[in-house]
Amino acid sequence: MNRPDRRRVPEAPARIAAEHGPRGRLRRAGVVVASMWAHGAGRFALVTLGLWILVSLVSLFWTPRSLWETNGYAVWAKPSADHWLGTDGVGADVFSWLMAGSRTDLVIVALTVLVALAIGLLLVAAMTSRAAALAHGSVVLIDALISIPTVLIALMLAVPLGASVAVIVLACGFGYGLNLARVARPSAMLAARSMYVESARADGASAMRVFATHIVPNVMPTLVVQCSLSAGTAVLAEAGLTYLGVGVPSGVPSWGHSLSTSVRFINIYPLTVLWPGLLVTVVVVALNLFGDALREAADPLTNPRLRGDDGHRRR
Amino acid sequence: MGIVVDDLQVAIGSRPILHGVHLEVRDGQRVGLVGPSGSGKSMISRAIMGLLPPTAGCTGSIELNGRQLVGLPDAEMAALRGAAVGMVFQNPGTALNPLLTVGRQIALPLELHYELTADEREGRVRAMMRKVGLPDELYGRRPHELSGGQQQRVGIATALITSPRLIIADEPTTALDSMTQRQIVDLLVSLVDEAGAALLFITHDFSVLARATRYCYVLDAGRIVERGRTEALLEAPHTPQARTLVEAARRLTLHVDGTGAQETETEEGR
Repeated sequence: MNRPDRRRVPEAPARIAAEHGPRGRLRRAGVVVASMWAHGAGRFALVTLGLWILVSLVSLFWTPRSLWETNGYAVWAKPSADHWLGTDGVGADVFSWLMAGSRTDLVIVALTVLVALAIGLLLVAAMTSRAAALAHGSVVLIDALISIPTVLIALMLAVPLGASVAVIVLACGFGYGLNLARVARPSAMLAARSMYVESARADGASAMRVFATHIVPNVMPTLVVQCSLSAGTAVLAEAGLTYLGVGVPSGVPSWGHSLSTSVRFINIYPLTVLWPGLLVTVVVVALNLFGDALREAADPLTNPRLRGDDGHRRR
Repeated sequence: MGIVVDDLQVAIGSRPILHGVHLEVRDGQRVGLVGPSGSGKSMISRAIMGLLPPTAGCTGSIELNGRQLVGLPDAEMAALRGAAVGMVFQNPGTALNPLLTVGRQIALPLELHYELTADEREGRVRAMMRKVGLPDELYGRRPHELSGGQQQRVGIATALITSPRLIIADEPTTALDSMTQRQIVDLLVSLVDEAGAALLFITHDFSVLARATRYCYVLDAGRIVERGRTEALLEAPHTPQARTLVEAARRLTLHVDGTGAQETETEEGR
């Protein structure tokens, strides 16, 4: 009577999904990166972001020219062997400034995404709370706050903080965090009201535990894509806010700084504006593609290489 | 010891669901709770687990091994759930987190209630999987790769891994086909008997009930209308509500079999 209803288990060549522990996790990460690399968009994103990080690191020790070396006789110079991307209005090397700017932007993007993720997850936790007042209140709060433009928040923050990286990070992190929570809400609610959460509670799991084990993993695919979009927008916001004078303070290299110092002369010296503009565009595109590629590659539903069964019994 | 529910009244908002329910399940007993949909069966199990919706009010007495559960703070209740009481759910397809592997799923109650190393945990989970008849290679699989019967075996393994003294099975076979139903019921019964635990088996299906329990309560519209030995109750139900349920089960069996047999046990004869 007690015969197990055993199905024949197909012998899969690579049983990645079955492996637990750090080794399994490492191999899964390897498979995800390899899967991203296999597609053009993913490869472009990986290469661009890899270069960005590399250049940021190198710029800490070396740039072709010193940032503070200016040449009054060679302002707005065209690209040459001396100045690979030419010089700006004070005769400083555009390439060196862009190199140094990449590390500022990298820090801004990383911090913004972290802040956004923290705020987003906090709000998701509030929205999926079993306390009705908190759950409903947080939705109303998000809807109210989301209508405030990020730029306005940045301008208000700039009053006490002045022009600083913190203004960009806090304003963008706040705005994108609200967005994140709003976008993640449907999948979070679906998970929170599911039978497996009920079952986890019957196992004795606390609200915290349910959130960490059952809700966060379910909203992560949505959040990853949203985070990469936010990262792209953060690069744009850095450029915009720095141009407005409330972002990166003058004298600190950043792509927005390079843009804002040269954009007034766009009609006379278009090349000097073109370089930072092009860089920002390429990086934003790469960040957006990165999120899509990562979600595609890290989701067992879309990536058969992460499934143990090679997709035989896909539902 | 076991569970004694006395004069349990549950209301959601101003709408009463249960009107003074009394039932008890002693250690080593397997007791059924039958009733039509909406009679409040699941509300009883939720009240015992302390998982009533936030808007529900609950009065009366629920004593688990001599300890009063009504009015217990949620933190203390959470410590009992999964450790002193295990629960098997109706639909294993939705009661398992699609993102967790079988091994992780079964290990959850252990993670919550016991301090074990990862290896010890894995050992216990694999031993439990053997007990419920799950092949070892399913350890790293996810729920969607399993059949319905296997999924319910995971559910049973999760409920039993901490060796709770009371197991509540809330319609554990309703989502399964009749062959698998019987296997799952037999498995549950043998494991519960082996552990000497108490089983509260909630169902609306008399054919499953007869297989799983010796004693049962009939619930209708929030009241226990009849109680007694399952066999006797099946043969000669006293109250109209129980009679309706038994007759409905007979008619259904007759219809499904198409043989014109008169008894619910026709399925057993094969």
